[in-house]
Amino acid sequence: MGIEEDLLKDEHLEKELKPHPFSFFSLQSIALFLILWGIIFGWLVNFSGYWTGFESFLKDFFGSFVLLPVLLVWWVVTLAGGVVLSLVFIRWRIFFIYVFVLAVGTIIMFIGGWSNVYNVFLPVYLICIGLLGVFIIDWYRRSHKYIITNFRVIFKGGLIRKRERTLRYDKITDIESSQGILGQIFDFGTIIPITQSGFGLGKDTSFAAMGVGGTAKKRFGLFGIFGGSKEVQTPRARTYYELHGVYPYREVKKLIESLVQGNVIIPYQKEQLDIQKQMKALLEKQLELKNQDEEES
Amino acid sequence: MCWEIVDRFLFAPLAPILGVILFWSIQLLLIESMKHLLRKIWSKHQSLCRFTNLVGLFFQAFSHAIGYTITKCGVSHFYISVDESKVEPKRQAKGAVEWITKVFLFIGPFFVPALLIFILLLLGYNAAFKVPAGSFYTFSDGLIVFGNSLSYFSQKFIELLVNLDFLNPFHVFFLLFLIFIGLGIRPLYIGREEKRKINIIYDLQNIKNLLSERPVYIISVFAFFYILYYICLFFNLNWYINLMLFFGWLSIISIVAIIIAHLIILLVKSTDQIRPSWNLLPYVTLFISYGLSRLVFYSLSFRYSISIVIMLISTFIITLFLKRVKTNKLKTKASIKKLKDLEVEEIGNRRGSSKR
Repeated sequence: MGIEEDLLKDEHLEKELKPHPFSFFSLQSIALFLILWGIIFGWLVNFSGYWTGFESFLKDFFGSFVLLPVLLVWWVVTLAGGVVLSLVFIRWRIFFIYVFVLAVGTIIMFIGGWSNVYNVFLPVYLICIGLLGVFIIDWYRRSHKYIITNFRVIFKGGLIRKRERTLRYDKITDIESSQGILGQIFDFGTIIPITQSGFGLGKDTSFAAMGVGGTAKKRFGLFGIFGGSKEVQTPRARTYYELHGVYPYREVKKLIESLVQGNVIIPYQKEQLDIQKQMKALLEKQLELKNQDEEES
Repeated sequence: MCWEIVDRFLFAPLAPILGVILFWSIQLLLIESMKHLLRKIWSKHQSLCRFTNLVGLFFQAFSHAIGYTITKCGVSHFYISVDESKVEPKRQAKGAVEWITKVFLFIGPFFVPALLIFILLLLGYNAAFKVPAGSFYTFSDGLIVFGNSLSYFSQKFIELLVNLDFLNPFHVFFLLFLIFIGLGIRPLYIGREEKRKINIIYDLQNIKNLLSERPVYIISVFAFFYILYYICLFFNLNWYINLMLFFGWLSIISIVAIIIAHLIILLVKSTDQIRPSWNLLPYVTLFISYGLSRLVFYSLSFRYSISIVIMLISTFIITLFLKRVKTNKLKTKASIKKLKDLEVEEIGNRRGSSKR
């Protein structure tokens, strides 16, 4: 279905946007890490001089069964990357995705009988999964569509479940915009329109807890826990409910600001009031002139 | 005899200082040339220019912050964007402390990025650093010792670079880091748009102001160098020459990094002049020629260096060839050039007749 069919009467398209290819870099870095580590691991196991020494060292401990320590290195470094990325993005699901990927890889290797070519299978598997990740993330990015018209902004997105949000300019109260380092370099940024109903706002919660525990050897025991949490409202929305990573950032921001400004009712009312005042003054003047004429006659 | 004493006590300490100034001047000129090149590709590669500016601003802010940290002023505000950087101290610096922070701001960016490479080399390739056993006694001695050590370092550093194995991820990271340093050795101030024209004159003006506003500090710095030299002279220590060599090594690293960055920018600039679908070919040649050379010279001991040389030469030839044949600029064709000359002549004639 074309965009034109979505438009209302007298509505015209101002801009049609999609997120910039690098705007999902934080998600892509999860897949890129796998590719990078796959390349390094492949080089390390197959071509590096360091590995030969390490392998002979391993053979002293594990005999001919070198696969176990190799798998250990493969798991540990990947999971370490997963922990770092989880901490950076505050999303532990990244760690569990990595665990799942590694578990599946290990099972496939043993079931498929590729354990004797582990030096090829393990790096190639990681690189393939990484490439698949990059492809899926880009597919997800391409599912986003932002349509800016003279009446409203239409947000569309979602890979399987298609989501859509329509936002009229007169309902926008605030506009939050941000630009990361990559955004500054490639000139893209995120614009979050916040509505009167609070759509576009999220919450940051921080929690602190303190516990005291102590047991005396025989008769006395004590345990207590104290806690508290704080919430801060912050502009946040799903990528398909905000103008995520739009390019060119400044131009789009200016367009949205001017469209919001054009739809604000107060200046319009003010203009109407001024006209009414002028009309009143004219009428009064007319009446005055009429009275003068009557007096003279 | 009298001249020998004057040379030994007055002129000899100046020799390595002059050496450092010479290399630093070369660095300044190369930075200026890179700025010129970047300005030329700015309209087509704004993202690349913004990136180089960001890296430059980062190193500038980093140097400034180091200055505040060393002088115990502390850093209260640290801000970097593609357009500007800002570092504010917790405590306002005054007098000598202020001067030292300014030294870090104006001179730091020339040396701090190279310091990172220096640390890497020190950890992984310390054979490149040869230091003299003791002090030197005359001006000419000083120049020879300084020059010898730097030429040895340059030779080893180039040797390291031409023997990089691009199939080794760590070597690739090292090269990328070197390019990163080369691109960002000095901010260009052409982030979103060219706001400030910062050039060699601006840099020199700043340094001149720095030197002239507090002559006492400059005299103190020279006094420190002279005292250090005398101590080294009497106890036959190499501390003074090593201190100067340190700055010399940093300059050499910076110069090499900037030259490599130059090659990258030149390649980008040249491919801009090639027709769109063909302009990827030089980049493809870069990778394919290296890969093929590595396969062909697999068993040779000098496979790394020969592969790099072949890669560079083949990319250069292909780029040059494409610039001639598949150019998107019409002026290289002789016949069109002539036509253009005729047009210019015709316009000139018209102007001449209208004047009459």
